[in-house]
Amino acid sequence: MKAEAPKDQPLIELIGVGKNYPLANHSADRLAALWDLLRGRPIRRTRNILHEIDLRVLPGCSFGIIGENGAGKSTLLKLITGVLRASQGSVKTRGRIGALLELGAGFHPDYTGRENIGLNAALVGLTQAEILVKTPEIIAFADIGEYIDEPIKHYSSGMVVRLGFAIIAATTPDLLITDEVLAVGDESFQKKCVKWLENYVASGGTLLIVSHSMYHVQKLCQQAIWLNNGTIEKSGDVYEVTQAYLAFHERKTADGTITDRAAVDGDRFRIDSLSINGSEQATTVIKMGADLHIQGIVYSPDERTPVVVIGIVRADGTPVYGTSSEIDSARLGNIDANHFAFKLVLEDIPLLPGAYTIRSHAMDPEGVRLFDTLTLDFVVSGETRELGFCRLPHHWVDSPGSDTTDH
Amino acid sequence: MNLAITETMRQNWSLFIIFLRREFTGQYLGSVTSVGWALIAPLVMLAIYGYVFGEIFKVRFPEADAVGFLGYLALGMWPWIAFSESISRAIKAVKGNAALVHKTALPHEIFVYSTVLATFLTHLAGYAAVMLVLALMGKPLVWLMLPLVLYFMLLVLLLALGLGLIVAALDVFLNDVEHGVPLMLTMWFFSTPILYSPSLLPEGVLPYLNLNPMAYIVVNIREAMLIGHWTPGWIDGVALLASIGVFIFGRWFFNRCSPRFEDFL
Repeated sequence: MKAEAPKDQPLIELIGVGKNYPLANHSADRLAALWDLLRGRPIRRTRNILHEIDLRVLPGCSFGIIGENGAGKSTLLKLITGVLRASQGSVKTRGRIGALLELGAGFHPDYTGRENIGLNAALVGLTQAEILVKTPEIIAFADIGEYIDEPIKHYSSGMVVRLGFAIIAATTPDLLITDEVLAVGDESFQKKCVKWLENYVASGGTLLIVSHSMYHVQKLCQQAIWLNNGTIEKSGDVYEVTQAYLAFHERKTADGTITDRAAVDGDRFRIDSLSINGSEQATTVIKMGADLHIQGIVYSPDERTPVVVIGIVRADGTPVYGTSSEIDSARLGNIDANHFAFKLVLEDIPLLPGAYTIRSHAMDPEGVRLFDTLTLDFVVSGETRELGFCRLPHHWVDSPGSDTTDH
Repeated sequence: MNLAITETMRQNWSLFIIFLRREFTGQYLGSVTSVGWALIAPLVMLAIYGYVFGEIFKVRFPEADAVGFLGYLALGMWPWIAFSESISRAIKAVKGNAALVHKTALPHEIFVYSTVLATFLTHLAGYAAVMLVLALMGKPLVWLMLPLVLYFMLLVLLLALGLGLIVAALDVFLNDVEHGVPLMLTMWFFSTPILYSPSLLPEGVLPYLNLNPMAYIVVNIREAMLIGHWTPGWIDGVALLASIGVFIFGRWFFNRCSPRFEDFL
């Protein structure tokens, strides 16, 4: 193995990186592009795929890349692995980089498994002598029998992954780039891989993972970036980034049928203001388990006290909880004849991290007709991998069944 | 820094060896006689040309008297085949490895070098075999001049590498290369004195013959092997520099394009 790399030097450093693809569907465009290249000029007709990407991956600090399809994740990986050259900015990498991607990283379809082992081992920097030593080990790990001397194009996808993983396991790169590829193999092989990955990370290996599974990203990474339309939408702590990404998706899928205040004409019951923990902006972030103070002012046209309904829904519109001043027999505070103040406190909110919306409604004093809706978004943050949207009180019984007094 | 460079060079050398080995095993994979085809194909061509021109058309010129038409033809044909086959196969060198271009970060030049060198070495071996046959037949060839033949073959290699790099890069951008280049090679073959001797050419053409590097090479190899004298002149210096120049230009051309191969494949 190589000498231990200094811990403070990044394995990957991208500064202001951009990448464009030429628009070249016609021969004329391709010729023009060729001419530009030969003169050393930038290609004229291009489309930008990535803009201004900054990224620093330190040894031992695994990194997740999330984003929708077409956001530029694959292009970013290709820039990091050196398959592509950046159109702008600088890409610096250090150490051995191995890639294990679903589509068979670096395999030539016409080459046999054995030949591809040699090729890939040379690509990560092994000498001919080292390759000779490692090849039997790789073949044993891959465990694909006589297929090792068949061209890769005759392999099943599971066999390709086996071979790819065997090469990675034998060459132990400083940085391993991967995606949900391991889901392809069969049960026993997956176990083998997971065990290896855990050892790898535990012994100081660094992962760069592209995944649509926030669960995996949160489990394996300390940091993450969210790519959106070729730019970094958010980067930093893995929980912050994944939660912001999930919140974005929940909002996107919400159908947005809530009628806005425009429907409220003139002199009706209405909510005049609404705030969460003192803020009227939709940017409030509350730590899971903190208190939620919802307050506002409701207007009454006839000086009678209206009923206020407050509900919490997830960003996609799923109701979580709702109550009203009428249900709880709460008394509103008179500000003047027509304005009433309300304040609701939810203690230790058990909501799991994600984006939520407070909906407040003004109803007539009888609590029959609903006149107005005012909403306010907020985000619950926290570092947890629990599932669902609310933490239910629970506890695990230690070693149930092993104790005779347990029933 | 220097360490990093030698490390990269060592890695590229490993890759080159892998691709070269693969070229030899893969080139004729699946055929019964394996590499044998590379030797058989030119022999068949030699037989056809020898029969059509030597027997049917009864082409005669004094230069060929000593070794016979077939021997004369063979001396010129192998350098040409090494050259043209190398280029033909180089056309697809990058495109044929598109799967790797899309997924790996290796210097794309290696594809061209391994393809050209494998083809070239195969035909060089064929050339040696043909020389051996001529020797066994007792043809009066000047064997002392063999190192000179090797030198001229080196020029062929430089030209093939340079042009191979260019056609391989061009093919990524334009499909037409696959159709155009073989046609051009056929024209080039007939404009090179392989089937005939330069003495059969019209007076007006002769001064321009050396503009065709393959003509220069074929004529000189034959003179060396048949007559046995060769006095270097300024033209030989120009030829050497031009061959190196073609190779350097080919590299420049290829490496200008190669960072964008992935985008166009």
